[in-house]
Amino acid sequence: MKNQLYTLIKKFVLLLLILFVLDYVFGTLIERAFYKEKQGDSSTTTYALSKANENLLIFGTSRASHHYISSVIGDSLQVSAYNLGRDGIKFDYNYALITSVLKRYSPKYIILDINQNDFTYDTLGTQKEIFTSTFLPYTRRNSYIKQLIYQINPREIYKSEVSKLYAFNSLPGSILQHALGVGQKNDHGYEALFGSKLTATDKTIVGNSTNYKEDTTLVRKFDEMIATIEKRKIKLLVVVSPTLNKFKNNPLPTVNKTLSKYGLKTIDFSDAFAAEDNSKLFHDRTHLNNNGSKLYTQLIIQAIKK
Amino acid sequence: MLFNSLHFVAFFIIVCSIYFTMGHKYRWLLLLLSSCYFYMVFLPIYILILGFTIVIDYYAGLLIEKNVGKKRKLFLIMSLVANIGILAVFKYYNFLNDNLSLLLNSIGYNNHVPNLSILLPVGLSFHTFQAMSYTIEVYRGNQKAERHFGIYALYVMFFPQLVAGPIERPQNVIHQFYEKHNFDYNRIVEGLKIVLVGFVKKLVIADRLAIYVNAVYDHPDKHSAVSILVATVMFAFQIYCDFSAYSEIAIGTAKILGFDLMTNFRRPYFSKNIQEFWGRWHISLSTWFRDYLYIPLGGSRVAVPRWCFNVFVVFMISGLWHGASWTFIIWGALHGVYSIFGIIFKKLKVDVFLRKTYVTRVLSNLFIFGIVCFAWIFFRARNVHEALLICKNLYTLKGGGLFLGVPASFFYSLAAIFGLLFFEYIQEYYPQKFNVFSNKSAVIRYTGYSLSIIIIILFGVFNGGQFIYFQF
Repeated sequence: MKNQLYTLIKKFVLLLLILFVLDYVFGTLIERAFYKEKQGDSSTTTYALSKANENLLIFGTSRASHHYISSVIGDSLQVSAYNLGRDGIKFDYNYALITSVLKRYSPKYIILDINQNDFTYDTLGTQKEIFTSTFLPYTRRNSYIKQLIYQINPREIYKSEVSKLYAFNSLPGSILQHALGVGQKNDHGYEALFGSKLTATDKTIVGNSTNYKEDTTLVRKFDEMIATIEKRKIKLLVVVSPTLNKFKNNPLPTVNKTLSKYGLKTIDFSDAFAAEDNSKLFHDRTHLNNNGSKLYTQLIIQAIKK
Repeated sequence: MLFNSLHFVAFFIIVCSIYFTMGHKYRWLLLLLSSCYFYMVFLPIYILILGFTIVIDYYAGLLIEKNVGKKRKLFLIMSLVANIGILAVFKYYNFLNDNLSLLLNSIGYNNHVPNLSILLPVGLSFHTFQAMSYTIEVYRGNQKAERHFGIYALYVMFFPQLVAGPIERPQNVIHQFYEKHNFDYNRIVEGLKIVLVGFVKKLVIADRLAIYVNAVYDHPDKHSAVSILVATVMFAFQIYCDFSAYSEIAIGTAKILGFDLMTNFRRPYFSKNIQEFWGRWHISLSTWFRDYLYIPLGGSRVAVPRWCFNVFVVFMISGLWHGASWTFIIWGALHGVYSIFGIIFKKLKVDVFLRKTYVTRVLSNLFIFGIVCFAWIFFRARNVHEALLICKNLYTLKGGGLFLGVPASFFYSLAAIFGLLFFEYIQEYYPQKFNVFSNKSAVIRYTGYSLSIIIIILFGVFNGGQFIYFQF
């Protein structure tokens, strides 16, 4: 038995060594390609964490990335501007991004687009998983991001320490896609949506959540973040962008309560286009199309100028 | 405990280490205690149900062997009633009660009998069938009643196959618990290779395909015919990889410990007729139904109408075995109908014609895959209403284009299916060629192992959750 056990251990160690080398080589190659991405959601996050230096930054969910034409806002205000909105995220992502940016420099303006689900309690733990997988590729280069993930998901940090490739799980396809230039290019982070996919029933769906539960940790983080922004004397606009139908905006009372401590108030544009004939301005139930975003961007410029 | 968890990896390493360092005499006890722990991780209280059936069947076995004539049969029936009774209460009670309520409402009465709010014990159908095969085999005289209570309990509870099979027979397993299994390098490596294939199938293929399938099948009203068609084909591969992965991990882990479990899948989608499909899909269950239901009903040695009846009954019960829902019953019934047509074609010698040329063989293969996919619609849909809606959307060729979801994930899914088909094609038609894991060259072998692990790290889905067949 001893000889056989020795052989098994020897060959197992050999396999581990081969794996370690391959993991390091492939991991390094993928990491390099990942940081060079010029398109897609990850490129926006990478830009925000390492390069962004504009005077005006826009943060939020997909509603931010599709609603704010950053180049138009920048030209109109004579400042550099970038839209850092990203699909499928919540306030925890924006908190990480904004606080990370503030560690590097202070922009003159920050626009934060608030979404209906930004502060919803993550009952199933999916948001924790999305947050972790979004930021895991950055842990080797950004200690602040690593610390944020460690607070909520230390196991994932250990795994990414063991394997360099692990952090890039499921990403090679999109990296390759973007390297080949397949997919939509953005304009200073703004991604236009064209046409309309609205159906007859979309106008009737209100989407009021009856069992809304707020995440108090996120609300506390929101408060801390506003305090830092105010301390740095950055002009902050917390905005709700237009929605197709009128609905009860669940997080708004809490957001306004926090903002009022600093003499601020949410700018609520949710009803701005909620007219009968708004279907030409919306791509789908939650997003404006390029025509809608052009109109909306003008509203935002006016609001900033005020 | 899930096979695809770090918890299981740690558990298995600890069990193996103790198993090979301790003496043979008490290894059964280690395996039994490990199996209890493995099961209790799901929900501890349900170990009592398992314990109850083990005690009943243990004594039933002894009494069946001890007695003759009608008494023998009586003890067998008592054992079967106890086993089926537990299945009926935990798995079928609410289904029967709901349907009774519907029936009574339709004739103007109310059913005041409440439903039970209980969770279905994990793998109940699997270990119940395994326990039943023991008493039946003792009754038939093919297996001696097991005197050692611990060994019998281990036969039912052996952790690699406890919750999702393969459903073993006592003749194949019990004697192995008495044999001394030395630390065998070759066996361990063979076992690990099988486990590795299982993990690739589960994490890289099944759980990846599940992302698209769930997106479409959770909202069938919002998807076009082409998306539903793609999702159905993907589900066919998802369920195959999910279930065969479990079987492979079970067979591999058992092999490492020195045990041989039966093969449960043999590339079912390469079947050219429906009988062949059932000879390759979930073999341990198919042979269970063949040995304990189909043959006692008369099998094929009866007139054709009776033969067709036997086949249909077996498939209906097989559908019900999978779950207490009309969707599973319809799935079983569809396979029953397919098999009856198979019998008719066999009688008309159509199958002989179809086997003649390469083209007809490929067409038969595709046809069988198509009808199996159609039946999977009922297996996967959440209820009959949604299954019919899916069929309607397919039949009316509902427009709307192909839903891609996350494009990269969609293309991983396609790549996973083609990779699987390539791998299985070689196994099916060139079993001695291109064998990476058993190649004479160490370079090729190690490249195969390490690339498989890297594929798991890069493309595996690590939050995919439990195996589909756990619910049965």
